[in-house]
Amino acid sequence: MKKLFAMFLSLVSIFVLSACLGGTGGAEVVVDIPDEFPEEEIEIILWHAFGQDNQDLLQEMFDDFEDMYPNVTIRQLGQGGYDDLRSSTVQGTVSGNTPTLVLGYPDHFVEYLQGNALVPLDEYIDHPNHGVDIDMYVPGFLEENQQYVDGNQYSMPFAKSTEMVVYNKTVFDYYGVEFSMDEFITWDDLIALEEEYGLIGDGDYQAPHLFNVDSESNFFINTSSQFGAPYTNAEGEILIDNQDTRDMLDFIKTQIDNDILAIPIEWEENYGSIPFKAGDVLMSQGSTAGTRHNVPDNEGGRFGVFEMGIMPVVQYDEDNPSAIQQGPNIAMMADTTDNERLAAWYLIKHITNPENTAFFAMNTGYVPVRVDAFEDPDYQEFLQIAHTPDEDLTTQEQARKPFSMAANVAYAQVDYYSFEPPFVGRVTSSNARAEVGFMMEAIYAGTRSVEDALQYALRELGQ
Amino acid sequence: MLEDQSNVKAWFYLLPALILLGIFIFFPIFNAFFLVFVDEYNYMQGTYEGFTLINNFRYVVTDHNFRVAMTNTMLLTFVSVPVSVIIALLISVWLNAIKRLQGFFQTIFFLPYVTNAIAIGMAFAFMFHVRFGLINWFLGIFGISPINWVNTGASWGTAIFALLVYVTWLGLAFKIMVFLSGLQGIDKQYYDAARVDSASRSRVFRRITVPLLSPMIMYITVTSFIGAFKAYTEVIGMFGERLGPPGNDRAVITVVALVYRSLDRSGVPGALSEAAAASLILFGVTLVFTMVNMQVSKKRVHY
Repeated sequence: MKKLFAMFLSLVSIFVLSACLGGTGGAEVVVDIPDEFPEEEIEIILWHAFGQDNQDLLQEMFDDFEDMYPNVTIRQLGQGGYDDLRSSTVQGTVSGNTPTLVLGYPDHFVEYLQGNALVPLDEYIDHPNHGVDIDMYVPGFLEENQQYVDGNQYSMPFAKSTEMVVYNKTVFDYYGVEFSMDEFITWDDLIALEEEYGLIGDGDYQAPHLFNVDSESNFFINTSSQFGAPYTNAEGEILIDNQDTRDMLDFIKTQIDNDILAIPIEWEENYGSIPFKAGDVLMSQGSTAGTRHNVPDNEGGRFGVFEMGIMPVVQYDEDNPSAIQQGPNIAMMADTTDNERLAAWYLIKHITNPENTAFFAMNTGYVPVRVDAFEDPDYQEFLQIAHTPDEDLTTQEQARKPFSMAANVAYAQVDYYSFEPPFVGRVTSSNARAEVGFMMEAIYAGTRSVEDALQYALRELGQ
Repeated sequence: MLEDQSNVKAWFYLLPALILLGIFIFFPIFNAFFLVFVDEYNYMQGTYEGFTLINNFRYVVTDHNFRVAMTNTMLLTFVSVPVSVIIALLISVWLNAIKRLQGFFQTIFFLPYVTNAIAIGMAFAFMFHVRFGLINWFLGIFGISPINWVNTGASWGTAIFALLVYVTWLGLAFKIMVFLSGLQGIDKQYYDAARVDSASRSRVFRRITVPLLSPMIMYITVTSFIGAFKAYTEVIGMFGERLGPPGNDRAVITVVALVYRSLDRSGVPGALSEAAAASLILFGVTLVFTMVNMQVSKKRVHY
């Protein structure tokens, strides 16, 4: 009896203990903004998923900030990839060990909001002493950060990018075909080019495939937008079970069957830049932030080290263009003091001011997040590099030319940036994004028909 | 009085171990039981919306992937364990019989045990590569056309076959080591007596080796079953996070992979409870099969 009682008592205490454990978040976030910038010693910690090159650029901006505000120290900590960053932040929220600022995507932020872990920025933006002219931010980027269900803005655009198409200029020059950095072409144009010149094949100035996409998920989501086919909404509804999506998938399947379209699994690769540089494909759609990975350097490839050009994303309907935006935004964590938050807000303003967002963009392939940054003299000079013949450029400028071309293309698409709504639930927006990527892979590999792949994806997404 | 004192002392000696076990073993287990019976558990806030008896189990078993994961896990368990036990037994008997290079071969056979499973998985994926793989090269010698085992568009059948070969091979090392040590412990007199009676090799194997090794066989079988039910690293090693060939993603997903998929969404309310429910289902299945194994062993094992 005594033993039974002890066992019962242990079980109850463990159950109670279990119930007590879990996150420390929960309380509504109260925003109380000091009137003046704090004078106390403050440490701002930023978590991100950047590599060393981008960390060095960040550090330059941080050093300037620390010179302006000597009582503030900034520490940046890379957390690995974006999934690692998300996971670390969730764990950090549970254990009460979060940074001051965190980079991430809206679907990360909606997850953090489950623990009330983010500070709404609206009052900081509108504050008479500390606010910012929000209209100066690129509308498409801003809209992505204003789409949270409760209507608050929890993040600011920071390292934004969009998609572009890199192409083998050597081959297209041979056929006398020129593309513009400012104007898109349509799929009809592309198909007509293939019919006219016979770009696909094993001969000279031909490749086994014409066009390749880096991210199947991005391609599905953006092409849905081009087709006017619903994808998801902020309420978490999965909307892909419709005729427009089926028409789009049939169109994609036709291009796959005709070797016009390929995806990296064709070469068992994760990124399209590798087959592009190897000359297995003549065009590749990917992120402007990945520009440096597409610069031809494969001497053993089909075309050796060829000349590369960059153009906007290919469109389906010239009246309904769409280019998906990517790249992380920046958010402020709630487990911070009022003074830390204000200092962090100043840091957000600092790294997104016209000079700094232009500086970061020029050195990375990201896009400035403010419209006035495009008018920055240094940035204008940078944009001009793409339009200048190589012989008139210094060696350093020649190295920057691909980034300049990407920047021009990103700028040309600024009016039609699109994004997907973030949501959480039994199915999250991340799940939906992954699932449509798998669907594209299944259609490409021929393991499922278009309809089967669609039904499979719907079932996976709980429909 | 003295007995009481030594009891207190004993508890003190045990205390560090008990505390560590309590924190890292017992508490997580009980916490999993707790999580499974709460609704919409919010990990970040530590809150939940009441209790539920079956909701979390229902989410798991109605997930389309659960059926696939359970099928794959069962197949991996009920094919790889018996096959690897039999092969390991035969190899260890052969190893025990040879005089020359025994140490060398022991080392060779034990190497997989100390090598990273992910790295070996990648090596196996390459061995099964449709164009460059050793397997297709070998089959080509006999005029067999290349088979797409694990590459883009490969079917579930070829993928699971390749995985089974890898899992079986990976499990051999430890089994061989245990069997070999068991064989070396068998009294030579039994074999001498069998030789005097002119018993054939197969009769010696069936009547002396297997019965005297049966406790080891039982131990290996039970632990291998438990290990095989938890298969995950092997799938990641061979197929990466796709858990299947490109274009046939999640074709070889296992129950533990399903648990990790839920854990990956830990910030989403209810996800941890789903992970706990899937792991408890796996625990239940493993427990049932282990008990069946133990029952069978009572009749077949000679201690």
